[in-house]
Amino acid sequence: MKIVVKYYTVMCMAAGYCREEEIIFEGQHNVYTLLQFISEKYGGQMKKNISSLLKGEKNIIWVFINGHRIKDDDYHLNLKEGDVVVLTTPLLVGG
Amino acid sequence: MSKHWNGWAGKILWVDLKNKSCKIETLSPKLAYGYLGQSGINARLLYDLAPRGMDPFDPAAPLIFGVGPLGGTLAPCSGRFTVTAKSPLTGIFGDSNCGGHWGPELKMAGYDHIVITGQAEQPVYIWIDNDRVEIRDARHLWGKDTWETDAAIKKELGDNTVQVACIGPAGENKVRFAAIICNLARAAARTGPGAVMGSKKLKAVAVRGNMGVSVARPGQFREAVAQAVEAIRNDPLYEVASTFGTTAITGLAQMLGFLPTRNFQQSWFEDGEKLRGEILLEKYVVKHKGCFNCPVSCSRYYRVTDGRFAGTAGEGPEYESISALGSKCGNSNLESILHANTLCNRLGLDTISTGNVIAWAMECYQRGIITDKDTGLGALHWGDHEIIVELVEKIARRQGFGNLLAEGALRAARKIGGTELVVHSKGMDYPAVDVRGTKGMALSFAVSPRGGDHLKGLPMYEVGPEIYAKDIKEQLGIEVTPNYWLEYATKPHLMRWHENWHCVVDSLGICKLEGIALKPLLPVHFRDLLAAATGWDLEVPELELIGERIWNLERMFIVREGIRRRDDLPPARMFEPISNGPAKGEILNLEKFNQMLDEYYTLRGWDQSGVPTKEKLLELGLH
Repeated sequence: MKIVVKYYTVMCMAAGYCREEEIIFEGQHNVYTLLQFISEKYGGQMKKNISSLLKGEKNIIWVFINGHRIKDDDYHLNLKEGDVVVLTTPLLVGG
Repeated sequence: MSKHWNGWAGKILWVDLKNKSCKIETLSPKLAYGYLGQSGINARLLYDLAPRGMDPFDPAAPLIFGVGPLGGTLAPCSGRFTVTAKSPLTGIFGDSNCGGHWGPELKMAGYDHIVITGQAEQPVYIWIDNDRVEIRDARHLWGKDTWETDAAIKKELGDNTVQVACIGPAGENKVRFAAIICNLARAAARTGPGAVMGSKKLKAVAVRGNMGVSVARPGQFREAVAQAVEAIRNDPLYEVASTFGTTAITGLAQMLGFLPTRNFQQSWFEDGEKLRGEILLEKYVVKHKGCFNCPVSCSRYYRVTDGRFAGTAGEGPEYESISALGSKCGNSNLESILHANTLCNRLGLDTISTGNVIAWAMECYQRGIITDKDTGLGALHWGDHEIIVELVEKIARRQGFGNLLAEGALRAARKIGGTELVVHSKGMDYPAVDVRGTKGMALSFAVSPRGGDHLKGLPMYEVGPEIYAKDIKEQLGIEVTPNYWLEYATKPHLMRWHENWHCVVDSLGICKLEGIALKPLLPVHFRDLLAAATGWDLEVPELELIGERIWNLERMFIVREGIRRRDDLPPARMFEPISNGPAKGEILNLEKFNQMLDEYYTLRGWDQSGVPTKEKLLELGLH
């Protein structure tokens, strides 16, 4: 199963400025296992950010699947071939 | 009445360029307590000095600089100043808020405001050295760009720490969206105050101040400052703001489908990925920069090292500039955007209106309203970054086709056609938000006293609802939903609150990004900072009432100029469905928009034609 993951702002930095990558899994995976995989792959700040996200400690990471934002308790959602997952911070506005 | 001022410097400098005379007046307590300072007092002065119908280029038309009571103090993000004048772009109310170090320097020289009238016979600049004020010959500076001017004045005065606010060729040529630039990149740009400065043959205002700013209760002030700084540093978005500045928006705007593309014909740019702030940070940013006393330092200094634009360097660009000179023009060449941004700063142009007028011209070309013959430059194809860069120069110098574009999109369209393609409110072109997907911003852009504008009422709560859900509930009693930005309900209430508090923030002298916009600072922070700085104790509702007074005063200014409900409607394009991207099909519904407007007017105490009622004006002390 091939998943496209896009990283924005601080998540992009935590991924070493990787903006987009394909992740190939064997077998069934859900959002939670994908996040764990990414956490282990990059470690460091990425691990901290994802850990905070999963624990609900710091509500600054948004997860989108195919353009739709998932709710905080929807990490069990199964992924399917070709899904596009976005990890980002919320919008900042200003001058 | 004699008074020792704290927070405020307590003086207004009046300069008459025609007679080459200056006078210093004591700040009246009525002005300070009625309108706080900076943009609020500026607005009051403009209302009193610029009667209905006055031409913005009339020699008697005032150009007003202002700093707030927190400006230049230890309060975080207190490096702002506001320039206010009747707008040459819109013919109505104009003001522009700017960061950097110039504002605090003016305060430390002992002034809260400068009011400039008259027109010099030859180019001049004003040199303020604390109590000493001179009007100096600037003939040798005329024609220089803002960077050259800044350097020349510092050299002439023998002091590299002097702060210079100046115009470039665009202001000299009265381009209707010309900027005033300080610190080489900080711009008072929207509504075109640089053109007013140029019309007065005023090249620059240079300031040196070393008198400091006194505060009423130093211990209490230090405590209020510490609490404000802590709130800023603990804000969930602090790291994003401090690392990316507003460029963080670019990728997200694209992802959510409200990145204006090809003059708002689309809201998703197929090459938008190339404009992301992350790329800018990784490839071009060499250091971060900040304004006076800012714990965020959201600005970035960039350098292009190779290729067609090798050697380009400068500060920024903001998200707005990336969109204006990029996606709005179908341009995905980031290096050309950096180059055009630097050019705008050097020539003294508003990047937003510059990009918008070029985008409008490109759509006119696409639709056959103009041809190669009209442009004199050949084709105006979307995404042609060489043409975009060339047009920036030609606009600033009013050369050829650039002379038409220098009038701004609406005036240009009235001359050659294509008025229906101008995305504007009251003559000022829209910033980089597709308001079809953000209903509160649609209302905000529509009713702003300076026209299509994202800053006067910037509804931060609309686009970051969940992070701030608790605050929204506490401050406004609104329960937000995940896609709150798409809803119409509660937006009049939301906007009224934001507008009032933005008036307070802009009048105190605190940065918009950190003030309400980024939202770590709440009304209680402003109350506490103001009280400790000035010794003036107010309750939060009393402070908001001053904001409401300022908002209504600015509304009365434009009502006096003939603005009514018909002018508070968004442009036609916003009532067509978004044509592509994630937000495809999203639309601004006219009936629902009118319902929002009805409710907004009622909440404001205005009649249904958009005019403040006598009762409301009496309540605010404006009648």
